[in-house]
Amino acid sequence: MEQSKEKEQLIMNGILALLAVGALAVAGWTAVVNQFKGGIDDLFLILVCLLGALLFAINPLIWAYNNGWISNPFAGDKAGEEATEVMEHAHGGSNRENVIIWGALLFLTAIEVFLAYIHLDQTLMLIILMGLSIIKAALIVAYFMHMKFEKLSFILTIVPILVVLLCLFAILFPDSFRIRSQRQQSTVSQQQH
Amino acid sequence: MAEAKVESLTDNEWSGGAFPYAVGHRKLGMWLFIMSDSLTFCALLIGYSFARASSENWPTPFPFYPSIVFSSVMTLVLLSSSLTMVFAVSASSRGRKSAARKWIFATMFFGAAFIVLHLIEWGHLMDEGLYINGLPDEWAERWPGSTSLFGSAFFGITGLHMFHVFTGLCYLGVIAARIKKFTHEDVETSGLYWHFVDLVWMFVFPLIYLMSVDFTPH
Repeated sequence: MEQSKEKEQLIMNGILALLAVGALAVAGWTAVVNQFKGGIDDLFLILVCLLGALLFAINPLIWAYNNGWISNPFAGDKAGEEATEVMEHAHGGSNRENVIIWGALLFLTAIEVFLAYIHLDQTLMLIILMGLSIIKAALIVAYFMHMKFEKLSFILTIVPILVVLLCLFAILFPDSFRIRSQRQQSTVSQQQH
Repeated sequence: MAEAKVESLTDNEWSGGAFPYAVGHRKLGMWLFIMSDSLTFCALLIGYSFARASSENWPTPFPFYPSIVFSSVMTLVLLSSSLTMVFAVSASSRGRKSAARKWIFATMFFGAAFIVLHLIEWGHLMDEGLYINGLPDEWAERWPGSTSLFGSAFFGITGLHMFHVFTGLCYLGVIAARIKKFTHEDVETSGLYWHFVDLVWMFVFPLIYLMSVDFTPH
């Protein structure tokens, strides 16, 4: 019984690892052969392949880590930190920590309002504002919504897929510039007639 | 006893544990709802950005007072409501239900304040002549080529967000009224929803208000 389960795990993780390597190979092949001649399209394909490789590789990596074949290179001597995290797990962050996060969120909002009154290029301002907003969203999700204190498998289920889906919306966006230039061209040609 | 049982169920994901994520089914359901709802708001915000980028001209009409002052105060109020909700969940996790109820009432107070401030702010804009299908004549002259898409985007996005805040108020009201009968997970789940509403405003505020600030003094 126990043996057959181990065999099953070995096969499943082997398949997932192969898929991950395959996705990496497609990404590499696209980069080498097309050499980004397709512009955004190539970049998008490579990003999707890399994300796919990451998603496929998560399970084999966790499995190998649990079996002790690989170790976490970032672990260092964090044994003490882990102990406190385990203790906090039941209640999430302390109240003091939450007040600090609240203060940080207010501070970032103040920076945003201040930035809105400096004459900046609209694109630059949009990038800065979105960057700050993503930091704020991450703080809210991690601390207020307790994501930081959930099990790793839960975080890996919710967060990456949400990021991918939200990014997929942005694919349509460059079309808006095309519509604008087409409209301007059509008004110019109308004036010429 | 019960906790030991849950522990054994979460022990191994591969053997089909009942709680492979160490999260109850209500909380998992709320997370899935939050994912789908964030896609709704993302679609609206991308649609608004699309309309703005493809338009010849887009009004940037919000003066420092009242619009920016009101929306900044609304951000402060919503962030504070999130903090009180965190306190409510933390009190509930320690089993102090009446303290949790008081913190939820504080959250509801801030949420109601947000809606009132937002309606006043809407009133200012409607007085100027902004509607869901029309721009004020003055704005149409100042920003030639701008369309009524401004009003649709503004009222559509802020309206849907306000509806979420209102729904959250009802949700929290039910939780607070019957808190003795609800488990800690129920309180935590309502907290997740409330923080999500706050999170959405963190994107609506810069995109709708701060990107449309009127620099010119009147």
